[in-house]
Amino acid sequence: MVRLELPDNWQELATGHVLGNLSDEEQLVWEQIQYHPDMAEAVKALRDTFNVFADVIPMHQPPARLLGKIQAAAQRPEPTVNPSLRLLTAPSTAAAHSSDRRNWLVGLSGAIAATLVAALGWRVYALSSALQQAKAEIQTLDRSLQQAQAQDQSLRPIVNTLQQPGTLIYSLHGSTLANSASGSLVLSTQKQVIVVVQNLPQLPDGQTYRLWADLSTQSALTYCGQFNSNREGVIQLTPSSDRCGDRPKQMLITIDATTDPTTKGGPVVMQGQV
Amino acid sequence: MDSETSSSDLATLTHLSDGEILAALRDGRLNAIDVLYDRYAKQVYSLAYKILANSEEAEDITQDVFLTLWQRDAYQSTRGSLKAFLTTLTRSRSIDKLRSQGSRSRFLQRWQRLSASEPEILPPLDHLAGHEQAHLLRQALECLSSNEREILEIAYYEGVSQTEISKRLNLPLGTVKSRSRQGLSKLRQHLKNSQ
Repeated sequence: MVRLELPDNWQELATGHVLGNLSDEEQLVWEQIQYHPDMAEAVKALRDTFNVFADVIPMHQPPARLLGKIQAAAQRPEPTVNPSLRLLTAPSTAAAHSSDRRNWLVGLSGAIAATLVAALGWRVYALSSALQQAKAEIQTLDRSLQQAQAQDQSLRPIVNTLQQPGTLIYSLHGSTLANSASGSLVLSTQKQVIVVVQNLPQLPDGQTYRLWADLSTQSALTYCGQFNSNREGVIQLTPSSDRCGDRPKQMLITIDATTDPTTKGGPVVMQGQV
Repeated sequence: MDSETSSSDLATLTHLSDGEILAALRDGRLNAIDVLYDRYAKQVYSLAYKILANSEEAEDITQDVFLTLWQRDAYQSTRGSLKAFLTTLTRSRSIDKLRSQGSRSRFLQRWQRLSASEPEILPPLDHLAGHEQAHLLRQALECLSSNEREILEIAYYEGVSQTEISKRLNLPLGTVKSRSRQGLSKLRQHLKNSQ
């Protein structure tokens, strides 16, 4: 058996195929070689590689109701012709062969009655399903409204603070301990601090995040307060020292035990500069 | 099936491979879908959410993907893992939905996502296996230049054509093609070397 030879640029062709950017000429060559075993293997490996982008995204939990919805949808019967309707159409040939016109009429009446009952039953079922669905949608909308109101309340202090002149904004990034964490820290002239973070986990009891200011006038970091992360990722606090508002060079967040003294911080989880 | 038998069946299924669970699903063991959902729903939903930036649409895509898996015998184990199949299907369905929307609504959705993102499931600070894996993959992505990565991310998450990427980034089409191919090859080589 003659084995098909691959062109020198076959790996580039495989890459272009996975990315969907083959030129017309390349596409012609691709069509000749696409079934080669080495090519199939290369394409599979490149697809898996491209899917790496799906593995580095933030994870979100689907709504709890979703599995139930899928189960209900899967077990819902496919729309089919109502058997009683078939009685009205298909058996007409049988009726034609029947010599007893009266029996045929009785049968037809029965079929019509059965159809009406089935249709009414189906209508009641459909209305009941629609009602259930509408109730579920109202609940979902209600939850969304509550979430939006809560979000509005949590964001209002940030907007107010940002409107104050002289407000400093620090761009925070995570250390190796929390490398996916990011966020901002807003320090107002009214000595208010707002920390807005993403991917900073909530800590269990006994642990806390501590905020420190790196001041050019001080050799040691200045302790500014402690907090835990929350679901909304918005934390507001009043610094424990007035010095924290003296235009720090950078702000740092450490992770500490709640019982640790505030004279020095634990490992740094986030830090940022203006 | 009473609830006790059902729980016991569920416990048995939990220890099976994806292929065995799919076979059980084909045999009518309805608990099998619970196990597959438990394994992959978060990944499917998160990818759809990443692409569509809309929780309701991500929910619809997740339902569609699992119904396809359940009702149509579309997955072939010879063509790759179930996870890869679900990822590819989710991306494809999400991008189809994205394309059906206008560019204006796409822009609005992405803007809204910046101001109102859903709560994420956060990896704890201790090193879970999944967290480690994600960390390794993020490291692999660091082998790409920022230009290569930007083009590949647009191609993956938005599924737009290279011509559209070239217009958006104001780069010649040839540059977009060569950077995307070079980036994907580099990433492939990096992952191969780290295995």
